[in-house]
Amino acid sequence: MKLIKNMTFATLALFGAGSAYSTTTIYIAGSTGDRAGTQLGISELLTGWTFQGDKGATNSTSPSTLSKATGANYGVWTGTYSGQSVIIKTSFAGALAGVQAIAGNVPQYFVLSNGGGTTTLTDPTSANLGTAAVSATADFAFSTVFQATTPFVAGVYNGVTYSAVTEELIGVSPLGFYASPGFPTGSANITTALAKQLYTKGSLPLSLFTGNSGDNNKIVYALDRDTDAGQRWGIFNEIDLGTSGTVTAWQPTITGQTTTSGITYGGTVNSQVLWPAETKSGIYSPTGGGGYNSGSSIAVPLTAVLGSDAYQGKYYNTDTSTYEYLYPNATAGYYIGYLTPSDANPDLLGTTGVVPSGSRGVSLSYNGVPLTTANVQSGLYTAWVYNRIIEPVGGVTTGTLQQSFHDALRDQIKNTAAAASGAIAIDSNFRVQRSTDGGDVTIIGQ
Amino acid sequence: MKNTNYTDRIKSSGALLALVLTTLSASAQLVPTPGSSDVFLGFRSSSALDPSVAYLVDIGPASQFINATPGTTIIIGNVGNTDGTGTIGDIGADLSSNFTSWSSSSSVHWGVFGANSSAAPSLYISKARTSTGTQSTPWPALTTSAASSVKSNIYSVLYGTYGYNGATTTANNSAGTLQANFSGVGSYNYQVTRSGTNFGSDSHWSSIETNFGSGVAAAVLDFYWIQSSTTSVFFLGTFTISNTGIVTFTAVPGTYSTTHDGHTDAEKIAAGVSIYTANDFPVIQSVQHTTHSGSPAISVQFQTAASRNYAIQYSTDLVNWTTVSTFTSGSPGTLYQFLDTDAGRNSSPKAFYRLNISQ
Repeated sequence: MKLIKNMTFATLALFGAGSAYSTTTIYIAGSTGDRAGTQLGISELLTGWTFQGDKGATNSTSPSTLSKATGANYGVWTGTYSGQSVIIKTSFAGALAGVQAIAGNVPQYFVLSNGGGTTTLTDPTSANLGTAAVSATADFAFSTVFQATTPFVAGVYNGVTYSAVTEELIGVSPLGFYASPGFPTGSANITTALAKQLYTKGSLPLSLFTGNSGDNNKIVYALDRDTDAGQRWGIFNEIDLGTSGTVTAWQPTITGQTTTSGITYGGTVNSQVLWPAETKSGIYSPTGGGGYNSGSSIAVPLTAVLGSDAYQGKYYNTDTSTYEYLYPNATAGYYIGYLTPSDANPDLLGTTGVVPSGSRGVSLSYNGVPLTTANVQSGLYTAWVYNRIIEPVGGVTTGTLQQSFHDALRDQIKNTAAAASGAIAIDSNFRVQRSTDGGDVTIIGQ
Repeated sequence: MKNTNYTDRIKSSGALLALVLTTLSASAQLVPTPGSSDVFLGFRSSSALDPSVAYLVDIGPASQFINATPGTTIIIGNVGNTDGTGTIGDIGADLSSNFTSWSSSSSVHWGVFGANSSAAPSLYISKARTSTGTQSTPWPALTTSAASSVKSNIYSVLYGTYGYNGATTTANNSAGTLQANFSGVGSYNYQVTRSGTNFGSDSHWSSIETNFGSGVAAAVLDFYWIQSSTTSVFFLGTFTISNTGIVTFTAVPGTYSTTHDGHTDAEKIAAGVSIYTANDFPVIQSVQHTTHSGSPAISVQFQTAASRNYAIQYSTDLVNWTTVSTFTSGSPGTLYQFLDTDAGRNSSPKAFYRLNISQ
């Protein structure tokens, strides 16, 4: 009798450890281009959730402030999934970081907090480990580029060994080229060849875009994303720059900006330099080769007006130890950058009414085709990348909550959250496909 | 392992990080990140019998070649020879290991290339001599736009994915790596063999290379500095290589004038003026009769360069010269006035002054 009692107790204890008292922590890394859809999907799967991140805090009783979660690059969720208590930490450092995390089992930075608070958390990539950041391996990740596009293919890169990953497509992110306020709307187009030349040289006369010789002394400068951004790798393949090269892009300094409802816009670019050398996810960019770390951050300078020092290209000449001008006769200037409509619409084009008309950027057609959902779905507009969820080839460990949540989140994004967050669903309306980033766009089934 | 509480999770991460670090430490040595104006040697073979690789060697900043005293040499390629960023290893051993009979092979080519990161970039590039004793025709000057395009292509080889930076060192050279040839802008072999011009269509460089088919003595490379901010091209000197792989840079000869304005670079360096600015040479700005403390004097005025030794010399016939004053200038240079109060020279009906300047 005594033995039976003991066995009963042991069974109860095991059950308790499995469900009643434990909290499972899930780590998710990936691209900022997948951020909105992923965060929305998580909010739809959890019950009684809270979110605390680098854009503030929100919870399931405040759906109107969900943007604090969908706009957060780093944060932590708490809630219940499938009857179990979970903590989900998200790190949207970039697609390359996501691929690197899974293919190389390389730890990523997540917030240290276990959530539930109301304060805004510090970006863990700029915090000390143990203070506001923790280094952990991701259970699964999201990427806007194929693994084959990145340096992290199976093999050794920069001394680290990488393995193949399993990629599942969950949506499509169109990429648009956008220009500064005042860019001539009648000539708002960029071709593949022009984009390639712009990012190779860093600047071009506006007349190459407009065909108007009167624009010879108006200068267009390139803005770029950093090497963590899948969108960068996708767009460089798209414009035939390839992924093995470096580019030339700028870093403006802006004064007089306004921030309203979390959107920063306007101001004047008083100076600019070639983007300083930097290293992201182990990839080094020399001077001029780097860029902004998110779509929302590159949108900001595209709402500013260039001052004379900026559009004349004032720079420090190390050969003569003096400040000189690349274009001393320039009379105006503009930036061009690329981002997704989900970032551009509210932050750059003012579709939510926050950015006033005088600060709104200009959407460019690509090879003469405007960026619309219908043009992407039909194959007319080719500057787009897939959203994908990635996991180790063997999959997330079978039978774990991480695995079931991975599967549920994949389906949630694919079926509803992707389209609801600005991406394009891969459904019967999406009639085309491609097998490599920037590769041929073909009709499905033909 | 993943279904754990927070504390266990950290331990798990730490273990994985340690594994990654172990992988790194067990891997071969990586070349150091190059400086933004470093110059590189590039070797490759067009023979199918040789490996499909390019051998790239960082030989340090361009400034060492720009500022080299005319006529002097810089030896590159000896173990223990410091280039400013590290120690260059045994280039000859690497060449022998990878390229068959390289020093007499017409299939094995070499070139020298580099660029700086300025918004108006400078390019450092070689051009083969067709006759070893005769300087090649210089590459054309480039606009900042064209130079920026070429710089992007050069930087792609140096810093792009699968470029020099982050690559594994060779067995014999911590500044050298073997880059597998591929079809992409980050490949040195692609850049110097693709149709059109080397490093892109904006360069106008038909080829920056020469080969060793006539032996190492005939494989002389002139080295040019293309400065886009001034749309200028400067001849810096020549690169040669011995059959054991010792590379020598010889700065422009003492008789060479970059600007062809009648003054040699050596003279301009001694005088403390720019070798890159035509007709920039010290002159006596004025010679005038004046008075000094009530007595007649001759005022001789000129601009000094920093830290130079000056001798002011006097003559009545332009044949026989006498030094009448010497001094060493300060830094920076200033407008200098010499007052000649000698009664004899002041009463001479005809007089000449000249400057003798030395470092």
